[in-house]
Amino acid sequence: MEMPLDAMNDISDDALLVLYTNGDKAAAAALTYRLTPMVFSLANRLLNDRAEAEDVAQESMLRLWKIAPDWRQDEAKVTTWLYRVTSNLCTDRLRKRKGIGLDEIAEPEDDTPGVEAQMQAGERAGALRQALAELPDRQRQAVVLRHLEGLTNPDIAETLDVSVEAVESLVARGKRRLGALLLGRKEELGLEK
Amino acid sequence: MTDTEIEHELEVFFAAEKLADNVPGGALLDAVLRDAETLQPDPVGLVQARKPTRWSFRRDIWHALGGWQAAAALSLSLVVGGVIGYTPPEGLSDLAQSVFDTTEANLTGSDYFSLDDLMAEG
Repeated sequence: MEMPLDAMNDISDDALLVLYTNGDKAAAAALTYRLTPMVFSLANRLLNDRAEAEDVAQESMLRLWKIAPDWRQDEAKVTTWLYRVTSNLCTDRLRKRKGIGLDEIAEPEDDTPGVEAQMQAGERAGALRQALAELPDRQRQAVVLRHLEGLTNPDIAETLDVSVEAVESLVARGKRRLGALLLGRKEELGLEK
Repeated sequence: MTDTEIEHELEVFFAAEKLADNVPGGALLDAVLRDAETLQPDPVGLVQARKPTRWSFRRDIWHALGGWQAAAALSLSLVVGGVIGYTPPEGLSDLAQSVFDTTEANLTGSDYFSLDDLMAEG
């Protein structure tokens, strides 16, 4: 017997993956709606391209479905595994993209005209994404995971397969670089009058 | 500028990015769910439990004697014995002659216990 979708909110990702493997359709839906936004969000922030981020998100989830029957619950958290797969897929895409000028990278869409504050927030988000795109891959991943996705340093270390000290270093260097790229544009972005 | 000051200055950018539209479209969710259902293993088949059987004395005896296998072997040996008795195979008479010095069984009354004797003995 399958459980209704909203009854699965309290079930862990691991347990849902077991249910999925046992043929539970509701578990497939619950995992899709729970994990796809997370994966898409990371990919979109790392790639700064919505279409590419959707491709990466679908590919990451596809790999999850494929590995589900062989999933070993005690080895890794599903989210950490997904973050790692997504980060690696984004790195591959960014390497292929090298040689494309920064100007050709899509600006984040802002279709809420008329409200100045929202426009400014959009511009700042866009500026951040442009600055993130200039960071080395590992620094970008570390900063995004830490400050935008809200992961802890140990989780980031597991995701990137580095030590916690290395994560701290990557995040610190990434933020210094972001500071150098963004803080000179404060007036332009409405942060200083 | 110290790292702490840089982090403080960057907070406004991180906050703006968190507010930005970063939600997947319905088409992506549909595609992911389609993949999930395509790759989902078949439901685990539930094995139906056997119904409990009632105790039966006759069935227990039948099983103790060997069941249908023993009954089949007994029937076969009866049929084969009957066939050999009515149409003995070639050579059987010679064998009987050499072993028993006769080919006929001649049962006389002395071969049996006398009913009268048995009654007398109690």
